[in-house]
Amino acid sequence: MISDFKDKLSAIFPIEKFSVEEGSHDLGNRAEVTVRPTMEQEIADLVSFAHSNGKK
Amino acid sequence: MIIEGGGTKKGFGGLVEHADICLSLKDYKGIVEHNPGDMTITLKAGTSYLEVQNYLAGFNQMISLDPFANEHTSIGGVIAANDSGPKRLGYGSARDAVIGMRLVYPDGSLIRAGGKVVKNVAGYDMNKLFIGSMGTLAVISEITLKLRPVANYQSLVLISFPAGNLDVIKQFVVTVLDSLMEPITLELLSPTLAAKLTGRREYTAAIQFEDVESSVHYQTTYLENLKPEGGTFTILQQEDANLFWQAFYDLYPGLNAENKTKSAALKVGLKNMEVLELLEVTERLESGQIHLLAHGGLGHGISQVYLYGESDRILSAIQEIRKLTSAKGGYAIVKHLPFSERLKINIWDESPSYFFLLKQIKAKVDPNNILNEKRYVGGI
Repeated sequence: MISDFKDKLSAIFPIEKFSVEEGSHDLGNRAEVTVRPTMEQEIADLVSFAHSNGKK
Repeated sequence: MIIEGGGTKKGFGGLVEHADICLSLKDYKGIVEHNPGDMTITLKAGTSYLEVQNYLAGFNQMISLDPFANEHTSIGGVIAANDSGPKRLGYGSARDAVIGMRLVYPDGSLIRAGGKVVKNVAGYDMNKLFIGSMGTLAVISEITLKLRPVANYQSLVLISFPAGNLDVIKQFVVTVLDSLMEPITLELLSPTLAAKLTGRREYTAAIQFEDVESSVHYQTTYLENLKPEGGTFTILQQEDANLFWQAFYDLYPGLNAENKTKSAALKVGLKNMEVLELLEVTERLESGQIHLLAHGGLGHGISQVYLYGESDRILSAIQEIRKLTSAKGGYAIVKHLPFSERLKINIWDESPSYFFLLKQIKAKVDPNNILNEKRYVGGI
């Protein structure tokens, strides 16, 4: 993922749908950013964003 | 990108500790459509399983799935992990209940599989491909399920086998399976688990019936006549049965903050009667250093084993259990284990003979490994 992906992501997603997970991460599954979409189109946009900006 | 619903399966698979994005579906919830007459419901994937069941109870209907961690899990998580419990014997699994899905493919495109009606035979049943794929092929957006009426009456029969003679248990099970009885569960609890739930450290069969009251009474009476010598026969009716099952599901180690880093859960698949040998092995492994709770479905062959102790003891016990499953041609999948321990063991056991097909499907659908990388069998 390119380094400025958070900036790019914030350009297409409202910041209130971002969050940093609190609490224990002892089971793994950490992420730089957590996004909580409320609509199907937002899920599609997010996956599409990852597809376009993710590793090749 | 990792995908998360209720967060009850964080210890299930997953060999990549850091992802760029966590797609949480906690806020993507709600009932899209409920047709009480057709007995179908369409839900957004992040919808709480328990909230839907409570809603449906008002219509005397229910989703015929039986997941663990049922107070916290989302319906999308249940389907993505193909989770099921003892009632799978009577209810079937997710592949029986799901009739349609909307999915977001890794390139962001939306696809639809199945339909919204029970009678739908056109084309391949693509739902089955995504059920149990752990979110590695697509993000589940909506799920359409067929519903089941809530039974008028239910009873749970607990029969203990104090002698611990597995041949006696086997004969009992064969008689029940060969009869006209229609149990919803035919679950055998290990003595250690039975001690925790019933106070008696003896192999105990938990047999649930759901039907009209007269039918349930007929079936429980039939079972009473099969009671082994010296065994106890207990009937828990209606709400008492629910309380038992809730205590049963609450044992799932992934839920308890205190022990979730010193515990593991296994899903074991064997032939029906081989469940007896598995439970015998778990009892033999029980010691002061490691504690094992186990139960297995004598009607469907799927068992769960919960292990508590220090990590080296847990890993060693898993290897012992896998000696049995390997010899029998079964499997033992690790459903819950802390991340650092997951790196030390093959979570998904030996890859199946059709693994090359799974790999090719993943490569075709998600060539860049965007979704839930290394979450599934063989590092898919």
